[in-house]
Amino acid sequence: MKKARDIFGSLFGRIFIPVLLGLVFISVTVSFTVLYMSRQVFTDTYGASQEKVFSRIEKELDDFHDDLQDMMTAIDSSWAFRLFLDSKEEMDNMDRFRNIYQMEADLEAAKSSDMESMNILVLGLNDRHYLSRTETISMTDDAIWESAPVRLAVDEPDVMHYQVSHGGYTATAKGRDVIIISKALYYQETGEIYAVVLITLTQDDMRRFYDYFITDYSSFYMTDKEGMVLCSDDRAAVGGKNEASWMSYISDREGDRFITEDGTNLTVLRRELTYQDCMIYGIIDNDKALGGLYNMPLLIFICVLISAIVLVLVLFLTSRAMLPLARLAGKMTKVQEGDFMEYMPVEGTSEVRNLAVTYNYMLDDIKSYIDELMNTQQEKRTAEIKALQMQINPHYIYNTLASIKWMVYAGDREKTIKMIDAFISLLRNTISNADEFITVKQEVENLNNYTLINQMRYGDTVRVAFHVEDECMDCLMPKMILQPFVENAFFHAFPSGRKGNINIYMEKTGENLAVSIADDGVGMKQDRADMELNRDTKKEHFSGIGMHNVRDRLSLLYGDEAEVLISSVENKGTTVSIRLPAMSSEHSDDNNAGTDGTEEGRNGL
Amino acid sequence: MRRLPTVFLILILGVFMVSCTGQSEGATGDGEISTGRDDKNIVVWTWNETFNVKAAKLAADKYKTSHPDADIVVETMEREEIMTEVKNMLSTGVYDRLPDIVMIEDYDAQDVLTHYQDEFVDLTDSIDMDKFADYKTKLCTMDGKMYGIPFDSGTAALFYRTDILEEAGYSSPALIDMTWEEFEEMSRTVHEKTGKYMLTLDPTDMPVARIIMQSCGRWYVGSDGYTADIADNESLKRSLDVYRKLIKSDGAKSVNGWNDFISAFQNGDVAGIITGCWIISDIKAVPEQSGLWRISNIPVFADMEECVPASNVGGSSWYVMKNSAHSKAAKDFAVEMFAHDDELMDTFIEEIGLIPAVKDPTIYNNYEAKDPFFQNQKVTKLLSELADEIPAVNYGRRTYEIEDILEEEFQNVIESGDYNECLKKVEVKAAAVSK
Repeated sequence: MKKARDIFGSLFGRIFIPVLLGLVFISVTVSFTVLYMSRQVFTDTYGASQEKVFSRIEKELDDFHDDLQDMMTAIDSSWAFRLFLDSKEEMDNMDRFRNIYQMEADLEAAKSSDMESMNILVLGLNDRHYLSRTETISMTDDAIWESAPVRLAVDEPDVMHYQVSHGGYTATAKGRDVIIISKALYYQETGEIYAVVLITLTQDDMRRFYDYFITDYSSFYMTDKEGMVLCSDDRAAVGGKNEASWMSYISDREGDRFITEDGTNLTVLRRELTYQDCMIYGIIDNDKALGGLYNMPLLIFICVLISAIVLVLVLFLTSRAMLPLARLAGKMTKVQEGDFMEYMPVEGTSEVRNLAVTYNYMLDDIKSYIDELMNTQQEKRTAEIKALQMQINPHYIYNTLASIKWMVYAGDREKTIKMIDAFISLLRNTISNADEFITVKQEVENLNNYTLINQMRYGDTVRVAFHVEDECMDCLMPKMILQPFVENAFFHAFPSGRKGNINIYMEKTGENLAVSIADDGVGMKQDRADMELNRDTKKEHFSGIGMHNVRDRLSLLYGDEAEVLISSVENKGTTVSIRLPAMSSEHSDDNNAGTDGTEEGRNGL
Repeated sequence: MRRLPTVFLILILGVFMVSCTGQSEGATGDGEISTGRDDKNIVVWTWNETFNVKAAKLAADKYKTSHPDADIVVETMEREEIMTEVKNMLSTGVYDRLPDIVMIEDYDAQDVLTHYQDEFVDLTDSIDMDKFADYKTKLCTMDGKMYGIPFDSGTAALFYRTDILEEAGYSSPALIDMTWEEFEEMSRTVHEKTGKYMLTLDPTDMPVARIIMQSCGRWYVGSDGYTADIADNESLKRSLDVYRKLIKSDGAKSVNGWNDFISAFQNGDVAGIITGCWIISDIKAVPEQSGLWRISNIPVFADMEECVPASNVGGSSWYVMKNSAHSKAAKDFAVEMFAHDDELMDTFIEEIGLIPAVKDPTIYNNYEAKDPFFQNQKVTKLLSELADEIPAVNYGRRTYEIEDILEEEFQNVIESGDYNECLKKVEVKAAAVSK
């Protein structure tokens, strides 16, 4: 889901989708417009041209009818046929031999060339028959006289009747749908019928009249006046009543050409054959004809192909244009992560080149700005630390010096020297030594000196013990971190000469240095202990550094990696736990090379 | 990664469109109006319902038992119609309604092969030419290639009704090895005594003239097949004489066309038939006449030494069309059934009275079968033996055209009997058409 939104949201998607939709829209509208227009034109022109072909069928059927009419007349007026069909008595054998030949000759003369093998049966009332073909009659005479075509002919002897029949009078017509054309021959004077001519045509015989009209999408029907299909290329319809849907559509309409509109889009051609008393219909399926005219799959294939090519082109060009932008986006992500070295190569379109130049320039700017900021911060912090280190309380020095004076007065020489040594060492380490980091060993020494001075001044009711793991000794820590807590314990945990111990534990736990300063003094409530961290110290103490200063420094130096906790229980004591990253002294030497340099400079002043 | 969905989109679009058009195509395909003949069927065109058509149907039925997929349609046509239609289709090159197998009468074979040799399937390598009688294979052959499968022999014989002849005072032995003079005499007597005729003669079709000519080893054309041999053709002149005498003396009945010819003997109006043995199926079509018929050899002219009592009339062969819809399947069917299946031939002998046009008919089980219809004569054996004696002639290509001319001219001399004059005229016209 998110991916899909990415595609549609991206610049690429915004170009691709409208182009795709546009192409589809153009293809569809143009195709349909062209198809619709040409369909109209086609239906009209094709229908009109087929109408001409159709008229030819009509003419040929009429010509055929005329030929048949001529033949009927020829038979009727042939003396040979008359003699053969007329006489009731047996003819002389020789006369008959000649008569038979003459009938054949008369009929041959009357037949047009396309009637060569036509099935002509002439049936006389005197039980004589003449069959033009080398085959046998498969019905009895009575049955023939009873058949519908003969009866029609007898009822209406003036015209030729076209009838469809399943099976004819001869062997070759057996089981076939044939057209039987019947005509009665009669004496002009009396009107008495003496013979019937029956012409049998197969569907194949008829087909030559309309074959050139037939295609995959046009068909032909010839029906008699009752709507019985005499012949058609649709063999299933032959012999039945024509009940096609288009029949009902055109049945009560005037005209020769119709275009049905009931969803099938047929052009129906209609002609009435007056002489034959028949109708002929030509049906053109315009949909199918158009289907043949237009190669729809090809049309669609071309549309799809062109669309695909255009889309691939769009795809290619946009992705090429977008490539530098995508790269830029990637680089910007890295900048976010703090890597300012990711410059853009200047290439691609002019806009993109401008963008790259500007971006690179901006990147340079940001980098120099941040470097500057870092330097300023560094200097500011160093200055702050210096300032803190300078906060050795002058009162403490006066008071300590006053204590030493009293010791000199008391004459305790040894003790005095000890006191002065400790004091000198303390001052050197705190004031003279500008290093921010000292080893644990030095810190312990400082604390020892501080404790010694305090015990000299106030008595040794509070004892201080160090428990430092050997491996901690070389670790580095910021100086003057522990002193404020020890001082705090001295002056607040043991009021009014109370005796007690302060234990200082230092150990390495994993990557960290853990220090705890635990006293067994009066303690306090936990909420007060938390406040204690933020309180300022009194003037007479060694340094002005409050416990809150310690916490600030640690967070300045280490960030979240250092922490200070105080836990206290009333009358039980207070424990201050400090955790800070353990740094070995060798390592720190490199780190603080710069600061060493500044200290030397200061010494020189 | 970004291209992938696009490619899919295009693919899906393409597949969708193609499938759409595919569907619409299929829809229009279903409604297509079929033109021409039905698909799948092997179409056979032949004539004569009791003989050739029946044979083709028997073959089709047998073939379907071993080839259930085969679909064979036998269409009854008229002989002349087949020739006209096939020639029309071949000359226009319109093959969509062309049948796959046609039967062609031997008289027409050379004509058709000369004009349309390439339209027929060459069967030379598919069938054993030596199996069939030489005079038949010659008719089916063009340029040394065999195109037809010989079917029936047209061995001519005299078929006669013993009951009618007995009524006229003739017994069976009298009809064997007759002369034409004896036959004319007999015809007259039969008509006088019984009112029936010994023969039918058709002014529009003269097979008896052809039978007589071939029995003397002559034809309308010479042995080259195209030089008209009419004016000096003694056998033809004598055959016209036979016609004239038989008609004048009421010995033969004048009939009109095939239907009259068949119904004449089927109705019992005539006591005899001289024609090819393929008529047996039509004779047998009237079961009431069973046992009343016998078969004998044809008459000869006593004074003509070359004349033998054996001849041929009609006879046909099967041809496979090369450019029809199912030519290959049709060839398999025709070759397997009509050229190789001896069992089927036995069936034909029994069912339709076929006399196979083969060199050695003794291979068939029914060769010596007695036929109760013909008073237990061994019909096949009898006719096959006659066939061996048939003089070979070259029919050429214009048999029916020349005969049309002869019929016309014959009308003019039937009264006078001036055959020389008649035949001279015929020869001039025949020479014109046979070139």
